[in-house]
Amino acid sequence: MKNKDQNLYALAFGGIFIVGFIFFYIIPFFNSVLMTFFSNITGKFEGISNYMDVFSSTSFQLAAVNTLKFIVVSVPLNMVLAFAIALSLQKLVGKNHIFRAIFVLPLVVPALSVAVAFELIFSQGGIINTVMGQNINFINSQYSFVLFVMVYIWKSIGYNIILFMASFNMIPQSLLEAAQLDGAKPFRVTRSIRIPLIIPTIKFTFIMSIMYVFKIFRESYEIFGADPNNSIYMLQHYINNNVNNMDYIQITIVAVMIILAMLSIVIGLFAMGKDSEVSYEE
Amino acid sequence: MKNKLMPLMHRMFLIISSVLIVIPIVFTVTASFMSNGELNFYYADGGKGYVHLLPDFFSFENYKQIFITSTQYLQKFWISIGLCLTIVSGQVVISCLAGYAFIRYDFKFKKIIFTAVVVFMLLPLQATIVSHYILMEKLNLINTYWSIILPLWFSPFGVFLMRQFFSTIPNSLTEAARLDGAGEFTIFLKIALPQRKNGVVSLMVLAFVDSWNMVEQPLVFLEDTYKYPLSTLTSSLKENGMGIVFACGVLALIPTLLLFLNNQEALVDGISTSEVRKI
Repeated sequence: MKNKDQNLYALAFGGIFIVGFIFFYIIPFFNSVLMTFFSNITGKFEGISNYMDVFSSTSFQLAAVNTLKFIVVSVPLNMVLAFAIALSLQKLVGKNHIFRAIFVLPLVVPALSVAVAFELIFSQGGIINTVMGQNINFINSQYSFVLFVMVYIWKSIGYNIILFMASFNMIPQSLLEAAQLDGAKPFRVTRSIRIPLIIPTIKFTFIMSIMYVFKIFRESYEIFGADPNNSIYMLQHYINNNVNNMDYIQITIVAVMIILAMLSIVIGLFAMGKDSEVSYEE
Repeated sequence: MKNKLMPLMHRMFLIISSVLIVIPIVFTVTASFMSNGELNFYYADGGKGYVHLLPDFFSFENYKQIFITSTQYLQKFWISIGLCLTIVSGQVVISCLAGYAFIRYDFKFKKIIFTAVVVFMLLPLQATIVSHYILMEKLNLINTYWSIILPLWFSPFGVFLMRQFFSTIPNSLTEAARLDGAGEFTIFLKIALPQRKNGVVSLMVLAFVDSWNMVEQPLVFLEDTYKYPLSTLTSSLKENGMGIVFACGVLALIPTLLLFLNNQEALVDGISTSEVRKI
């Protein structure tokens, strides 16, 4: 097909999207980033003084630290659990559809539907406290962090499980069988064959899990409210509170920070280990 | 002996995990059939120390409240339905067309634009919501549903997903059709789309679930609370009695649950395909 025709068809099929994407995403975003370098009030060029203001704000610092803490704790936990469940599902002969459906179910459940259920299960007279013999206030104390991590894992584990299962399916059965014939124990097989072969999936799951940390704001809003305990005050809450103040610049600065962090993680992950990666797609 | 133990352990592990996962949902459903009196008895002041799952008396009191007595809950339900259907239909159409374009045709800036699509897709909502707000303010669309609908119509995720799905269609198929004289649009409609029905369905489900559950956008873009969709109802409803929250929870759960149960295969396929392998 001639080049001219290609451009024409591309325009016909993708034109609406590209126009809309540029108009609604690219232009507004870069416009708002540009605005962060100017003063809110006078409109004069301020350089990075707005950024300095945000960094020195204690609520921002709290939110940033909490978000980092949350990611460092819950993402590995999430991935390990998802991996274990996916592996068990893989090895299960027979109806794993029902199990799989159950694990993915939280993904489609609205935050509202389970908020009160979680509150009651974790309430001070509820079952968790009784079983542990404690009287912990999970809703509004330093232990809110624990509940929040649990809700996050509950909600997002299904997605990771499916990603892992899909990647397991791509491992050639012959490879696993050969290892077993050589006398490798199941754990060894997992460690030395499965894991190295699904490293791209592990990286992607890692990134998506971090992304989901920001999505979990919905659940947090339902269970803990807009103004939660300090232990779980995260960047999303900082942004949400500033939306009410209409402080665009602060929010965009936080957004820029988040984006830079995510981009460096993504680029770092994809650059790292590119040579040692095994491709089984070809 | 080891051969018999491992599968059993796997099974136990799966059963325990799935029970843990399912409990909050089951709790919400069964609690919605408990009267306020019963709920208060078992759960007020922190509760009696265990999860009371089965209702002592099966009560439709809460459902009567949300379906008959107060109209606001059903109102919000229909607002959500209308809003989500609008969002999903637009998004699916635009994404299918654009996804197809990205994989079938070569055009200037294709790589750059697609990279931008992937980058924006990986950004959290909070990163772009302010720029949307500023734009909507300029367009005078604040407090209208369009301020929510329009950005979602052009969501990068849909385009990415469809592009991934279409990329697996072998060229030989489309070439054969072209040799038989089929026009480009015919190829798209009669070959590509039906071949990748799973992709279209999974996008529909994922997009619907995401917009059905959205909380941030209505809070930011809508000013009048009567316009709020169902997802923004908070658990602070329980001031009026715990039962209503559970019933609302079930009400909110039904559409997405039905969609999910109906299209499990497609959904799993969609999630598996959404992995970014190489940009």
